[in-house]
Amino acid sequence: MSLLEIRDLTMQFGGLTAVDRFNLTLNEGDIVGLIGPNGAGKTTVFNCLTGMYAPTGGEILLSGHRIDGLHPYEITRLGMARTFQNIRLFKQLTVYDNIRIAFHNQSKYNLATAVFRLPQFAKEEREILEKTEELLEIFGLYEHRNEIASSLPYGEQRQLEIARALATNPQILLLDEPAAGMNPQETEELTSLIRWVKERFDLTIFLIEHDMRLVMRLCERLVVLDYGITIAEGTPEEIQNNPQVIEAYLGEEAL
Amino acid sequence: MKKERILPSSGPSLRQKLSWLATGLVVLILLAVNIGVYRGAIDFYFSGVLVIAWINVILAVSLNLINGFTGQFSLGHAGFMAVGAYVSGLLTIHLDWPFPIVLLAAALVSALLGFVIGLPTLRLRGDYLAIATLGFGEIVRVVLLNLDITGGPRGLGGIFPKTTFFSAELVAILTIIVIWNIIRSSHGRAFVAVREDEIAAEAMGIDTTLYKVLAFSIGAAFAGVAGGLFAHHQMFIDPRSFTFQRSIEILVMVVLGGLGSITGSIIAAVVLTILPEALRGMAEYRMIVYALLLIGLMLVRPQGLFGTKELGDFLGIARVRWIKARQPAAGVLKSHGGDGR
Amino acid sequence: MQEVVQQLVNGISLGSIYGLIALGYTMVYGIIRLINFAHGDIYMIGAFVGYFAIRTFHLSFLPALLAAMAVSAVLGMVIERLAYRPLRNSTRIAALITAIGVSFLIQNTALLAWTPDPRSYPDVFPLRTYEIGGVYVDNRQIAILGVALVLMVVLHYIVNYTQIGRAMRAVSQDADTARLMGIDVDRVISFTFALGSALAAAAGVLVGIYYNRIDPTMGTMPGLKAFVAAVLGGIGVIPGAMLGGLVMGIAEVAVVALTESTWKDAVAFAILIVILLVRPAGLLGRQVREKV
Repeated sequence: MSLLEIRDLTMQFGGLTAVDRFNLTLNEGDIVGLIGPNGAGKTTVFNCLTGMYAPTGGEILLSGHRIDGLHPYEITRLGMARTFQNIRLFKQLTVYDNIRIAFHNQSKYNLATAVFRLPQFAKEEREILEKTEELLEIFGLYEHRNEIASSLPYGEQRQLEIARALATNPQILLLDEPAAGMNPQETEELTSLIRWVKERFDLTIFLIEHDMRLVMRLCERLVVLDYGITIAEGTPEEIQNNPQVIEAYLGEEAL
Repeated sequence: MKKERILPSSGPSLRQKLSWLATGLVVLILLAVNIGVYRGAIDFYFSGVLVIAWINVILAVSLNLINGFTGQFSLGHAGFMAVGAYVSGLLTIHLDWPFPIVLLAAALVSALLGFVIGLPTLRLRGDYLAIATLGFGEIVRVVLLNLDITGGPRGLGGIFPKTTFFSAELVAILTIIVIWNIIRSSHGRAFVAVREDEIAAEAMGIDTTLYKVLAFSIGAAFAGVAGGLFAHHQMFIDPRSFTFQRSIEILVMVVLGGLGSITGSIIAAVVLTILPEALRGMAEYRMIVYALLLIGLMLVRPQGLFGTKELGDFLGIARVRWIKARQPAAGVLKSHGGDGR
Repeated sequence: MQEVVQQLVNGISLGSIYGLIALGYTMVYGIIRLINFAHGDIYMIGAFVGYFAIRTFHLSFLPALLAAMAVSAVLGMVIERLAYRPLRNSTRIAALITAIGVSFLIQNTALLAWTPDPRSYPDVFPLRTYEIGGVYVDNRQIAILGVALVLMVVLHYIVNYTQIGRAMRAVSQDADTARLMGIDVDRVISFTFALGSALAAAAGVLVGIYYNRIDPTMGTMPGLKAFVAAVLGGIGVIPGAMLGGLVMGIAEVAVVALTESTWKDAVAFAILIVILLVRPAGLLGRQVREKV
């Protein structure tokens, strides 16, 4: 059984069809890229997958269960985490708290346990603390743990957002333009970070990216979206040589 | 590498020393006040003011849970207080239940109402929510004016004076502990996440609707208890005690102390209760002072006196350190460190 | 039937007053996204200025009305300049809290200066009642309707056919872009406050004449209700405010006619909560979705 199966996913806003019958199957361990010109509907696909939008048509199955129409928090709990195109950290909180919040679902104690400070509370809080510190070390953010998230340099904010997504313990990680605004060297580092994280956390990754170098080096498979329609799918090499894709990116006159 | 940020400072700073001094002083005063009330050295009138101070502490701390920690802007706290006051007053008059049970019932009814009101209302954001909760508070007042059982505009009298300085103090301290323990937990972090960014909070697996309703219900429950204490202190209540102005007074306390600081709410509630009494002549200027305070605060220090800081931050006690954290392990996870960064 | 028409007439009179106040809320909200809580108190100040203009300075109705509008316009601009402008880049909640503070300040200063006792408004025109097919209309209701109508036409003209009106619409769409286009945004916002405050003051004078009774706390309830009217019509939408005001006025009169009058204050808020849940953009507003 495939991990994520998207069948004929369609999203309409009023008369506008942002995504039209989008199909994709992700197997465990896949790393797939979603590319396309601006306004092609890429982020809309992500928003449908993560429950930010309720799709107007089609089905999304995660490990065989329908997830379309569920709330975002439910989908996160089922093992799909994401980052955002315009970084959405808890800006006024510390790096530390940003991560700790994401462990929310892994603490099972109820309000009464918290109010009376029962042993289970201390046990789970200690676990969260340890896992948080572990993640901070992995991402090299440990020394910044007490800083306010918005005070971090841009590149580290991106990393923190990935770390935070990982804290929700996902099977699938959706990255929305992780390299946006990075210089070539940072992008290089990010590429190896994503690859490393994928192995370390046993992840399936689906990412949107404009930086072709990152996409070509990282992804095994690419999907190309233009005006909400899938115009090509295949290995990076196949996509690179696909005339339809070149046309979508460069316009007809370039041919 | 920003090494200077992780270097521990050498010894307590001047500010920390002063904070310790101030805290010690406050504890001494509190002790003296308790002994004074117990011995009867503090007159009846002033111990009454102190009861109101404790009630305001409960109101401010519980409103801070909604407005400060969860970032939902409620202007209806007096409504929940009114419900608690009337429910407890009626139970005492008609059924003569024990006081703690009466207070618990007041909490329950208010919480239930908070839940029922919260569920649909909390779909609204920011200023719209503020107006809707204000509307709710006004509806409560109009209903109380029109019901027979509440005595309508004549009010409800003959409630036995069961609230004492010590019972008010006990309930206030319990309130602080309960809300503090909630805030410093995974649930509390969920409240704060909702305040910071709802969409990101959802993406982190937090049921934002649930937590908003929860904050509303818990806040309402404590407002109900405060109402109960108030009713059994005044012995007479009428809808005029629970107007929109009352909600604003509580709001001023929370904003002055700092949205998101329990320490701030407590201090602001006590100061704003006692100060007008201490300066008797000011009584008629009280609302003007409140108004100027609100405007001035927003212009000069919108985060309030304490911001989101708590006593511990001033005393130099780190927040998470009560759980023994392990030392950062070297090497184990650094395999990435070489190639990645 | 006569009874229904009669209540309708009363409702429309009350409703046009709500409409006049609601216009100020809706314009200010449309332009700086602030619920100007102090608006109801500006309406109260308008009523008092009119009162003193007539009683102390022996002005007749129209000059008194204009005086009240002028004084309130200045007051509105001063409030904006001192309390709201410094907060323009802070959170909306901070601005809302400030507005609540300003409202309390005006009201409590008025309480101190003019005492809480209600005053009876001087008679500018002796009451005359006309009967048309069994329905009673008095000259005060006609004055309310007439003044409200004229003011709304003037406002419509200003917003749609003058340069400052065009600037107002531009700022409400996008203040930053408007500034880049060379519009003096501060001046436009000032003007909006002046305009809204003047309309509220007119409503204050009309209420004083109609109900013959004013006091410093008179602004709170009509202020809140007019806000509800603005939300009901679609906040930021000028015709919406008038429509919302009329609906509110009629609903309130109907409730008073059908039940006990003490319930009337609950009506507004019940309408508010329902409209916010069912159609938060209001009757004439457009629904917008938040961008993720």
